Amino acid sequence: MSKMTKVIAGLGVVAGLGVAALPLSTYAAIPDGSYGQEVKTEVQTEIKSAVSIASSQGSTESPATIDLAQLNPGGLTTDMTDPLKITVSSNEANATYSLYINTTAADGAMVGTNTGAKIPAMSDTNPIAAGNSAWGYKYSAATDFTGATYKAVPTDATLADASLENNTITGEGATKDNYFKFQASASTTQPADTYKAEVVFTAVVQP
Amino acid sequence: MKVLQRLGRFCGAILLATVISMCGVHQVYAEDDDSELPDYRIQLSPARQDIGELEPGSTYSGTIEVQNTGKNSFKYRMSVSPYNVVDEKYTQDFEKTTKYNDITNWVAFSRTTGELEPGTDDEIDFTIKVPSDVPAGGQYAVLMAEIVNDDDTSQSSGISTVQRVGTVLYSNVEGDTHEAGSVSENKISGILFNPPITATSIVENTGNTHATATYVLQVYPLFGDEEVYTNEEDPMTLTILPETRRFNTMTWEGSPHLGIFRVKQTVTIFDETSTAEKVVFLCPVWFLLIVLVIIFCIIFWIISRIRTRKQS
Repeated sequence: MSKMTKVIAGLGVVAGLGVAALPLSTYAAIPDGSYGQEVKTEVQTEIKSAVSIASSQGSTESPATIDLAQLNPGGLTTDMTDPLKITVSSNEANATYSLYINTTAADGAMVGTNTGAKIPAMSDTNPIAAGNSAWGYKYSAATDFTGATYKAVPTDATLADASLENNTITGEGATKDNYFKFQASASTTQPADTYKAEVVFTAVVQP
Repeated sequence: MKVLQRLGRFCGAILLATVISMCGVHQVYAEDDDSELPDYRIQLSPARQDIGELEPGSTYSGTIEVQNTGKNSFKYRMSVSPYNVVDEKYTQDFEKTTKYNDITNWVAFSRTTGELEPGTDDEIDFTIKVPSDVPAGGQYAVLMAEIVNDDDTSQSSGISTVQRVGTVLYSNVEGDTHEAGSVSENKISGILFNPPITATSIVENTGNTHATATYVLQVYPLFGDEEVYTNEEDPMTLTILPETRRFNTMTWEGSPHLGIFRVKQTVTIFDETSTAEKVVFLCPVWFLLIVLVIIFCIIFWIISRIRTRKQS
């Protein structure tokens, strides 16, 4: 038994040394200009600059439409538990990118798909509140929405937040997550309907 | 023979374990990679494109690439918008039309809609037909690609969202162009309570074509010429659009919390160079308070000593 072990161990050592010596013998077998030829291949590729925008909302597979759930006359939609996450990324170094938001409706209102009735954009005099027809969004750089308040979605592409710095990402491979929540409320006389609005998020590099 | 059999089993077991563990690792990585992808992500490349000089009456041809780098397939739509900036912070505007974005009417895409599976891309050709009677000067537009939301089947009230990404297109129509600009402000704060050390500037382009401004920040110790920070080898460059003013802040991110430095900012546009140099005292408020308390204590001690001497 011990003989077999010794034989196997010996063979193992010989095999190991052989494998270890293989690269040395390969180099030794190629003297300059005799048996071997050195070929240099230059590998080259170009990665262009790019900017991307992504969206996701919790585990929902189709975040293209955010369901604000049931809105009763004189009521208020519940606070969104899963905010919409909009991520802006770029591979450019020393460049700045900004995220803009706007609604496509000229007056900024949500429109009833059957009646054409409207839920107007919120304002200081027309806040989102039970018994009052209004809708809006709030923005946060983090998921906690600390200090974030609802405001009207602008009709022209406008920075998602008043502070430019809060929505600008700088540096190579930069990524910035932005979180949005939407809410709507209705007066007691708001006609029964399915109300919709389109919100556009635009990411563009700064000059 | 038994020893060989055992050895064979042992090696087989090790081989099997290795294969299983490797398969497991690959599976976990694959899931992780996939789960890290967002549901929908549209990417446009390049992020900016300076197509240079355009001759009146000529046609320019270019390409941009639309990519699906998300988890789900989507339909997309191409469009072109005017490109302007509205303030010194260069807040962008894609609605207002000025004499510098007539180009939006000259752009045509080889296709304006398409559908992309995850991990695929479309190369979109575009042509710019420059009219023969256009005035010389800069022309700017944004080539937009957006995810088309055709999910209108929902029966509940909701917000339909659209993700849009843009490539900024810079060009310059040949002819009677004039390049002129100046650095109208170059400032360095002398006292800072918190890092980082910063320098600000406003550059004005009074010409009718875009220009590149170059910004260099150099920080030296109070005594000595050995730089502790400089971006001289890789200066910041920003594009200044015609008839606009641009505010910029240069920052030394690695600034300490306490120190006295000589800070120099050099801003260049065309042939004009503006240099500002200042001694910057970087001192946190708590340190300033301690120094004041110490000074107060010394004064109090001196006064009490004088009084004691007089009394004695």
